[in-house]
Amino acid sequence: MNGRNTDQPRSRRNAVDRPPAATVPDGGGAVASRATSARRATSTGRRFALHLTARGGPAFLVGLVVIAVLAWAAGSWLADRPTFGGSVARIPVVALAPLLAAVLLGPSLAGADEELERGTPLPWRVWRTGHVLLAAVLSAAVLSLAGLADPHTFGAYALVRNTLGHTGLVVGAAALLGVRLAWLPAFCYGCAVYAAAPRGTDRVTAIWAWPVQPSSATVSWLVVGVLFVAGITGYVLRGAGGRHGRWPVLIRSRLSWR
Amino acid sequence: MRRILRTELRRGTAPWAAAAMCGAGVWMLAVHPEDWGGRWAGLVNYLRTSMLILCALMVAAGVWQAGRERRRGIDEMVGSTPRPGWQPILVAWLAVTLAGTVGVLVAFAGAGVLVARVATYAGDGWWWTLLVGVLALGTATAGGMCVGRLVPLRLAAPVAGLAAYLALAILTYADTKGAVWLTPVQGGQAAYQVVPGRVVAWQVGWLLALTVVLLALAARRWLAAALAGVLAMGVAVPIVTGPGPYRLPVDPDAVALVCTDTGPQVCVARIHAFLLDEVTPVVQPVLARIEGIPGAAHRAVDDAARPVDQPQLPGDGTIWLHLDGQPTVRGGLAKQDWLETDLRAVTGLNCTYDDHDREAERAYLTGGLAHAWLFELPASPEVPVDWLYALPMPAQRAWFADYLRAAAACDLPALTRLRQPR
Repeated sequence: MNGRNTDQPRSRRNAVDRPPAATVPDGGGAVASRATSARRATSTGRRFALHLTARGGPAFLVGLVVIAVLAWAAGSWLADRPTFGGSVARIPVVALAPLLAAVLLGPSLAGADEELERGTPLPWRVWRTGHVLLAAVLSAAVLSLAGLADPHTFGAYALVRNTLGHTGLVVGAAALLGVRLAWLPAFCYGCAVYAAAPRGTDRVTAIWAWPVQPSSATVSWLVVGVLFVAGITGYVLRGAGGRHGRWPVLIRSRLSWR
Repeated sequence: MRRILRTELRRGTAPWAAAAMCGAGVWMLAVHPEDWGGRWAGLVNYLRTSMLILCALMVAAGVWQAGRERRRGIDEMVGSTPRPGWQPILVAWLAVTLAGTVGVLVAFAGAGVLVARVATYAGDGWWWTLLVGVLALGTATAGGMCVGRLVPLRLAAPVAGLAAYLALAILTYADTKGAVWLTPVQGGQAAYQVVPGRVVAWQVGWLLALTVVLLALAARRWLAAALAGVLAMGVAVPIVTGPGPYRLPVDPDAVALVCTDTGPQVCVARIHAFLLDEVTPVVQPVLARIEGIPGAAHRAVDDAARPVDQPQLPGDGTIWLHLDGQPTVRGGLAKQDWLETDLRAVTGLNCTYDDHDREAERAYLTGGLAHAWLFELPASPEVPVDWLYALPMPAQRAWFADYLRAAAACDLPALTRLRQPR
């Protein structure tokens, strides 16, 4: 996790430090190349497993499954209530389950010591991209299972959209505020929009209240796309903010007392 | 103690809680002004509706406050001091509760200034509704402190906040059962309805006992928590087994009628009296158009004043106006089209019909004709009302009288005949 020079056994370090396959004389070149590729794949796979473990991947996965199950149960219960109007009644599930999943993702966006990790010789931008994309796809896929029944009416599609949108918010906030407070903007925004319960589906409402719009609202998908791309870009380029994010020193000193 | 409280209020989570609660309060007030505009009781009821979000935020603030020592790595050091463990918890809870409550009250006081400008009925029962809301904020903070002390997770604050929101929302779904009184969230109650004093007293007891339970749990005072828990359950039993909020009693002074002095009679409840000048120009022309026609409504009355056991029937001589969600912040009318929907009841059919019944469909087309005549709408291919306008006015009124008679009796053949041009 922290780089090949710090936490790998000596035999593995020797293997990684060997000359590349292109320098091996002809004849054994192809075999050596294949062996090197296999070793690299194994090494990457091992690093990936270590990365996920260090970032709380298993806990996130368990949390995600629990949220999906609860979302499915709550959605079914709401849709079956005769007075609530069928699948439309699943709005709370569509608004809150993706928010919760994105909040759970927050702590996984930085290691125990972000500055130490930055000092290791790994292509962190690639790792960050893979981490966030994998988490977003996994979250969207798992949560969409909860809304497969009548997916058009506040079902699977809206769950996917909201998962991507909230993930973008949390990831972008992690780059600005640090992982400790990465949940805050998405939490406040999600609560505010849901509390407002906007009844319109016009373009302006679809922009500011995309989590509670039907999945047929094209504008809401565009907003989510912008949030997702902006959030990921910020995180990939800058990584998670440190203990207090990337606020100016003055604000940081005020925050440090809380 | 006072010095520590002052320090907590200045340097702890309290200022952020106050700002967040004030912002949340302003946001909630801004998104649905029609639910509270011009009515003191409506404003306080809306505070209780907003508890769904405000309590969740207070829970999150409480968790954040309780986890401060752990985040700073000084929890063991603080624990080793001779000061009793419950004291810092109590002070921290008090600071966050005071700050959050002040934040909310500042937002709602601003709305109160707007209400005071137009309100026509003060009432007095809403003070108790407000008291229960304030107590609930303290209970929510105590719940957050308890979670923050007992659950050492980084994400405890948002997860506890969302869990609190869901728990409160689920309880409000049981809106016909007594259990709904256990939650401070009050949705769907009209401003002129009154929560019985007995229920308010039980709610106060329940929230106080629950606060003590949660604070005792946070301080790990198990005996105190158990004793207060028994008390809380003792209070909860009569609440849960009692009647729910279905058909709450009405404040008779709030629904006393205030009527126009001139023209066809338009009456609104006293609590909605500030709307009378806005409602009258919309309603009186319609009443004037049908004045004197046999079977037509002769007055329009606020639905708030309708006795609970009196159904709305076409042809009962009264148009019932639904004004609960109508007031704007400045006391104007928010949705004139809703008022027109109420007026459409004049031409409503007293029928239940099958979707595939062609004769009933034709009868409803005649209803469209009557509606167009009532509101003097222009003719269209779907509603060819021009032949009706071409008749002399006495003949038009006679046609409308025939229509009302047929509609009240659900006489489908007569309604179909009335659609034919004369």
